[in-house]
Order: sequence, then structure tokens, then C-alpha cells
Amino acid sequence: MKRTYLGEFEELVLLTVAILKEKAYGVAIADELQDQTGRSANISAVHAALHRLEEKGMLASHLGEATAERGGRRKRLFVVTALGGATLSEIKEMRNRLWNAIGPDTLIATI
Amino acid sequence: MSPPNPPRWADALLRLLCTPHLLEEVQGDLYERFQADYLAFGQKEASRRYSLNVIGFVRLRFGFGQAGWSKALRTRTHSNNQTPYPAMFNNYFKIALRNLWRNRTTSVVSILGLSVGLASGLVIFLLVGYLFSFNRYHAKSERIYWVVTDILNDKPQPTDVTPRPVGQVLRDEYPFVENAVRLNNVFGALVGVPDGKGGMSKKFEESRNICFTEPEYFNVFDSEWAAGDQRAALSAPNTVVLSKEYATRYFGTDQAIGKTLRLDNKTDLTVTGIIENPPSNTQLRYDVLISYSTLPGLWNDPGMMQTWGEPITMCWVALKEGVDVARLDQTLAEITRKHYNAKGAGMYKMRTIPLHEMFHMPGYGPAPRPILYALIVVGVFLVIAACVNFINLSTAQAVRRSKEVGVRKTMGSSRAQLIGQFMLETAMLCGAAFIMALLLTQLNLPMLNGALWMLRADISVLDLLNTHAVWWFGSLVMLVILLAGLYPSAVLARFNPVAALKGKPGTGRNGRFSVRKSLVVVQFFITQFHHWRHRDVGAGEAFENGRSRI
Repeated sequence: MKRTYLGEFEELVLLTVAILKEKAYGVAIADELQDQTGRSANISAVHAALHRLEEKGMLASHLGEATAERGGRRKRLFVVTALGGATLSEIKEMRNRLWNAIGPDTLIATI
Repeated sequence: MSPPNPPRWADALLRLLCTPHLLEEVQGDLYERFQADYLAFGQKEASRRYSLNVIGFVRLRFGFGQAGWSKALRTRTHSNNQTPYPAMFNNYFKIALRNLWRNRTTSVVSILGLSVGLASGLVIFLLVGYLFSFNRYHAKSERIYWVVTDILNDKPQPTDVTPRPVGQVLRDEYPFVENAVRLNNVFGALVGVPDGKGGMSKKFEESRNICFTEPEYFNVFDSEWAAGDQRAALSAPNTVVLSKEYATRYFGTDQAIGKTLRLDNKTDLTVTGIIENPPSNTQLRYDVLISYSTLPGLWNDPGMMQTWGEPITMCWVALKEGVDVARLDQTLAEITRKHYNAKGAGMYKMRTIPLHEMFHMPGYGPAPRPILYALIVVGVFLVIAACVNFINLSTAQAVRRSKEVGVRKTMGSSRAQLIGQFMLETAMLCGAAFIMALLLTQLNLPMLNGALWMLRADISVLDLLNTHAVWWFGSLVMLVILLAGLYPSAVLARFNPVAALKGKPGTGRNGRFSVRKSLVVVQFFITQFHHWRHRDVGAGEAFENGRSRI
């Protein structure tokens, strides 16, 4: 089956958008990423990933409300599309298959 | 406390870096982050992080043309799949750059050759443009005439003056005359700055740029007024108007209204006005304008203003709009008959010289039109020679591109497309050459201005920015690109793809050879012509003559 390729960072961003549900926009995603994974993400990197994901059809977006701390500017809110969701679960399944193939003791023994 | 703001320069940079339709959301995110950083780390650190983040958004400038558009809008914009012309254009551009870089020695030689030729042309065109601009900046310049008198003895003797009352009579009695002004040149005067104790703190020997004139001077001619009352400035005796440059020279400041100058050690003049320095393209350059009514007292001759004697004062007349100069000529003959006896009327003949053409009239200006036209021709030939040189270099290079042409033709490129591609390359080279040429020109202009010191020339490349020059400079650029690019690209586009791919291009080799040969002949001819012209002109002498007439 043909599937659009997802980069590692893109995958993280896509998952974060899913975590945040309706409140997913640039800064919130960057903050959540930092909280969840402990790595500090550049806002511009997050934006770039978001737009790339939207072009791939995994995210949909609309402009949300403006707030004072944004100087009256609106935010772009992202939601995961059906394609995005399917892709994520596919990746997960594939990972699981791989893990299962490895067998329970192999890796733990080497660590 | 006002809410903290991120550094303004970073905001400006962001507007520059970010794709416009993404600006709002991006800027909003950055502001939000800035506020959080401000609370956590303070203004300085927050600003630093803000700037770093802004720089990170460079990436959104490129390749995110479609980001943030709604899907509906996106499909609407891209539904009609037209020829991806910009894509081809980008390809041509890229290939052009690669080719220029691969043959960098040849490219540099071509650009240098072309730019030297263009620079020589530009210097000449700038000079001619400057010489054609003389006296024309006055709003009324097309309607201003200089009245001069020929004295008819056995041999007619031209003068540049009129009997003193003529200007007054023209101004007062003839309604078709809008205004007239009388003016006396001073050849050599001693201007002193009194020190307040009866002595003089500074003395200056002046000549040429001092005159006696009436308040009407500022109505007939354009001068930019800096201080003082333009209408009243020269109406009273013993008043003077200075240019900024001369006010500074005498008093060390251009705030000189009310100060006193002493003329020839006997007459005190009060400064009543300051004008901006006259531009360099005028033949009437006066820095010290003394009121005309000072004259009777100065020469101790109260009745002089009404004396019809020898021609003695310059007279300039501005006609009303739409009035033919023939009417002024008739009137001048009338005036002569009325105010002189038969002998006098037979001896003095007044005639008119148009201000806007004066600079090009033999005897009144240093730049006769034929010489200027010849200079233009020389300039055009220099540019053509440079183009021919460029053409020869690029056609010689053409063979190297035959494989590329073969492949492009096989893939379905049309001749017109190929010509377009190579024209684009030429246009890029020409653009570089023009930039070089402008630099070279600007570097050479100080020498030219130095040679024209008599005219106080101040030619600069910036003269190309005025509307008239932009027009001819633009057409020059277009012309050079067409001239230099059309033939080589036609040659390239003519290659037969089969032969080209087999590695023996150029079915029309004989034809091309003859064109190149004839171009070399043209070049040689131009060099010879150029040489001959330069031996012949002798313009420098003419310049000096014309200037000293005024």
C-alpha cells in the first residue's frame, strides 16, 4: 500500500495536534511538545511542519479567535484529518508488528 | 506600565521574511511567545529570543506559497493547468547562471568589454543631456528673450546690451510683455565686510557673478528663495540679495538678513534677501544681486534712468503666453524710431535672442547644436561597437551550447523559446554590464566635471533619475539587450538538432562566418570614425569663448 512518508518530527507534531484537540495552534503545539518530549522546538520549525502536514492532507486548519496577548491577531487552529489519523495508526501498527517480530527478550538483554 | 513590545526592527524583518498571507498567524504566535518570555526572563532575553525566532521564519518565505490557503481556494487557483511558464523561466534562469559560471572568464571579458563601451557612451550622453539642459529650468524659459543691440557702423558691431530705458518702456507701455528686467553686469568689484569700527574685516575681489538688477529679476527668472521678502528685496537703493554660498563666504553664516556689505569702499549695502545657490546649468549665475536703484547714487548721475544714449544695460523680456516673438521685434523697431533721431535710429538695431536656445547659438553660448548632435552620434557608435564586440564573443561561444540546443529541440522546445532563453542570458549579462558601466561612469565624472570647471559642472549618474533621462536610458538598455542578444540567440536557435547531437553543429557555418566578418569590419570603421571625429571637434575652445560672452 502506498502511504505518504512522515518524518519523525512531523509525526510528533501530528500526535501533539491530536493531544490538544481543538486548541492546537503554533505556540501551544510547541509548548506541549516541550512538556511531553522534553525537547525544545523552534516555533518556526513547528510552523513549517504544520504547513507541510497540511499540504500532505493530514491536517486541516481554520483561523480562530484573536486574543490580547497576541496583539489582536488571530491564530490558525489545526485538526487532524481522517487521512492523518489513519496514517498515525498505520505507523503505530507497523511499529507494533516490528516490535512483535523482534521478540520479547532480545533488546532487553542487550541494554 | 505600557505593555512590553518586541524590538521594532525584528518586526520589520519579519514582515520582510514571512510570506504575506501567513504573517498574521505567525506574528501572533511570536507575540504570544514574547509575552511569556517577558514574564519568565525579562525584556532583554525575550527580545533576543524574539529576534532569533523571527530569523527562523526565513524558511516560510520559500516553498510555502500554498500554505494556509483554504483547500477550495487552492483548487480554484490551480484548476486550469496552464503552461507552467514560471517553472520554465526558473529553469532558464538557473541554466543561464550555471553557464555564466562555467565560462566565467569569457563572461567576465564580455561584461567588462560591454561595460567599458557603455560607460563611454553614458559619459557622453550625460554630458550632452547636461549641455541641453542649460537655461531651461526657468518656468518661463520658452518665453524669455534677451534684447541686444547691433551698432551699425561701417561694420555691424554686436553688443549684448540695450539703451537703459528700454526695459522700463517695454514693461510699462506694452501689455503683451508680461515682465521685463534690466541688469548690469559688474566686471570686477571690491566687496568688503565692515567691522563696525569704520574699517573692513574682510575684503573680496569679485567679478562676473555680481550684478545690479531690478526686483522683477525674481519674477522673470526662477530662483529659490531662502530668506527675506522676494518682492521688496531689491526695490530700495543700497540693498543686496546674496546666494547662500556667498552669504556664508562673507559672514560665515547664511542668516545674513540685515547685515551690511561695502561696495568698492564707498557704498554700504544692506542684505535684504538670501537665495539658494543657482544651479550649474544657468548662464546667468549671480551670487550678489544689488538693487538697480543703487546705480544713480553710485555713479552720481540722477538722470541716467531716462537717458536714451548708447546701449548700456542688459534687458530680458518675458512675453505673455502665446505671444509671437515677431511682435516684440516690431515693437523694438518702433521704440528705436520713436526715441532716436534719424541718425541714431539708423545706427542702433535691437534684436532678440531666445533664452532657451541661447546656449546653442554661436557667439552667445558654447555648445552649438551640430557639435552636440555629433557627440550623440559618437556615443551611439561607441555603444554599437561595444555591442558588436559582445556579439562576436557570444557567437564564438555558441558552438559550446549546441548539445544543449539539440536536447532542448528534441524535447520539443520551439525556436522562439530558445531565442527567449538566450535573450534572458544576454539580458542578465547586460544588466551586470550596465551596473558596472554606471560605476565606471560615476568614477569618471569627476574628471569631466573638472574639465568643465568654467561651467561649474556638477554632472552625476543621479541625473539619470529625472523623467526625461529615465526615458532615454530605459530605451538604451532595451536597445543594447536587443542588439547584443538577438543575433547570437538566433544563431544558437538555428542549430539542427540531429547534427548538433551528433557533434557537428552549424549547417549555416559559411553564413555565420560572413556576418561575423562584416561585424568586425563595422567595428574597425567605427574606430576610425571615432578617431577622425575627435581630432576635429575642438570643443574646449568653444566652451571658454561662450562663457566669457556673458
